[in-house]
Amino acid sequence: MPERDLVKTGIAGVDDILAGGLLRGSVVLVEGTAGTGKTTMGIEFIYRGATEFSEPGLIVLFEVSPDKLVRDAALFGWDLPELERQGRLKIVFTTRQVFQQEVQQADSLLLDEAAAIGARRIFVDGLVRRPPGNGDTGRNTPEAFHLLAEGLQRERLTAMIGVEVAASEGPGASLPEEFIADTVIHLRVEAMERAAQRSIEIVKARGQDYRMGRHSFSIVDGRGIEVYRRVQAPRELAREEAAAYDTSTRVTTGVPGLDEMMNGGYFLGSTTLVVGITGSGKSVMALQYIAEGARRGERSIMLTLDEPRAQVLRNAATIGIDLNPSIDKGLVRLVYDRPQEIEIDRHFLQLEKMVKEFRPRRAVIDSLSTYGSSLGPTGRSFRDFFHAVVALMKEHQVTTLYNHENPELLGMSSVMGPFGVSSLVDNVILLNWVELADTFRQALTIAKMRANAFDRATRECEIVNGQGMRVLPRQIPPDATRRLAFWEYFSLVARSPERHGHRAAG
Amino acid sequence: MASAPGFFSLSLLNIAERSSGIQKIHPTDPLAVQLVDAAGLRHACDLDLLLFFSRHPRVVLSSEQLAAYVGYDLVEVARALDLLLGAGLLKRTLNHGTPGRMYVLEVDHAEEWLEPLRRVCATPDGRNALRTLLRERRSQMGTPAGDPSHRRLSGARP
Repeated sequence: MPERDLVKTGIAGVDDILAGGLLRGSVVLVEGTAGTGKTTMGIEFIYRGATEFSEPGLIVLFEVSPDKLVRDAALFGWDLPELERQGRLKIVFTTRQVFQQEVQQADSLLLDEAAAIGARRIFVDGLVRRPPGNGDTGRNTPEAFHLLAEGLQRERLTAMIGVEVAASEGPGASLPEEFIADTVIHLRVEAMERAAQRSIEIVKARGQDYRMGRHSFSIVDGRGIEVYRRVQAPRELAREEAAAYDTSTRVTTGVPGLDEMMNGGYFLGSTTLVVGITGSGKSVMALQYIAEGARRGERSIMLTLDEPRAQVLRNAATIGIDLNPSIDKGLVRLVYDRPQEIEIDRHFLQLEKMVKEFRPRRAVIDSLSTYGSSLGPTGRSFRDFFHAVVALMKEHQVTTLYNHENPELLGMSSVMGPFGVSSLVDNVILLNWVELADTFRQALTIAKMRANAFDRATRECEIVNGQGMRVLPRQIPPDATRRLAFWEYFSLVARSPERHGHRAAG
Repeated sequence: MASAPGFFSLSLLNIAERSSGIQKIHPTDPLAVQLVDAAGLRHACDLDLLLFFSRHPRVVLSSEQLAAYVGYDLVEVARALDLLLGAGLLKRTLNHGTPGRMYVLEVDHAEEWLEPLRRVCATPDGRNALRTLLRERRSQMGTPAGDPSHRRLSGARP
């Protein structure tokens, strides 16, 4: 099979969703309503070509004046006048009418300009989409567009054409131009509750593979467009297969007593869900897990959405853990992302990048419930996102704890409530309050551990200031308050604890 | 005209400094006079056409479209084009197959005074002051303001 001549756009993330780039000589329609980022994408396509791939380019404008374009491009750090001085770029202002006539000419002034600098790319900003049947038999007909495409193809230019569509219409309704173009890209700004999110969708790419669906993107000052592949996009099979975890290597939990219950700790690369009501010790367990890794010289990531970094460090200090030295040594990365209006594709891409670059052995996500609040627990979005994170961590053999807040105060009637993803995890640890006499006591139950025999007893645990959490031995002698050990009760997690042979003290 | 840098080189620094902080300018202001002389402008249309090309340094337009963009009649625009072309501020390429002409502002020749001129004309007051100065000069010379020249200009197509 002959090697395809692909033109890399150079726009962050776009070549990924285009499976490598655009076929050389393609005519690409970039469609969207006003403000969706068509001009920025087109300019960046030309800028990256000139600066990163030695492909000079031509920008053709109909409405935006070149000095405004230059000013706006400067916000991204793109010095277009300098490229013009170097003969790697020309910006031409014209009208649609003249442009259509020009590109159809064998000795077109515009195409001569392109040839003069050896242009390989062209961006035409501001063609207006004409729905069929509007009576326009002139220059904006599909026939005229076909001639335009032919003119561009004759010059072997890879062309990006920004097409303005009416807000009432939106991209999506097929037009004849889309049949003529080689590639069609839709840009959108979509309402998300009271926020807005940009998305990009490749709806057609003749002769090449591409990743379907709506991917998120941002326009970032100082950098330009950044596309984040949608987390639900299927992964390569080889990567999925690499995700099987190692059942011979254990990763210690950092919680005294818990490793024994698990016969040595979590399996390397396994996924553990820690479920409990607020204050039941999930974050404490997580901090001890991270601190244990640092003590062993293992790299860890703690991704927190619930508490800012300073608050996590303060909480750690109260249980005798100082994470700062481990952070300074590069063993621990503590990352906080604000949960409000989280852009899940961007968030996942950053996580993926961090995992690939930092190569942690341990990770904590605190907490899944916060993702649920952002994505909605009932739709597929949350489940697909969680599936993608689990696959990512397994592929890189990162042993990961996911905290999840269960709203039930005493016991649990459901592990994940409406989220329904517990089947995706290898291990489930329940942290509960049980009410015995006049006291809430802390209980830990391993509800699930794949491929491992484990202690199924509900065990008491405690959190002590300056020391953290520990799981108490099953047999504990009654203390001064004459508390009985958990084994003397049944139905602790079922919210109706009873002492063997007696009603529970109450 | 712009091709004689020695004529205004001594005062250029002064122009640039003054125009960077300009708030209001009067037609009799020495800065207005300096800028108009440095650019070699004679008519208000010359000024507006030059400003248009400074915003759009490489355009492909028909004569009619160009006239519509700057808001003058074809004859006036043709005369102003001739002035700018003659001064070497502008380069024009014709294509006999289409009505489009390519105009390229030769920025290198003009950049010493072009930016100060643009800054002054960035406000309505500044632009009007220069236009008033140009009209007054035409009156003193006995030619009514806005009266198009009857010279046929090279390459200009009414």
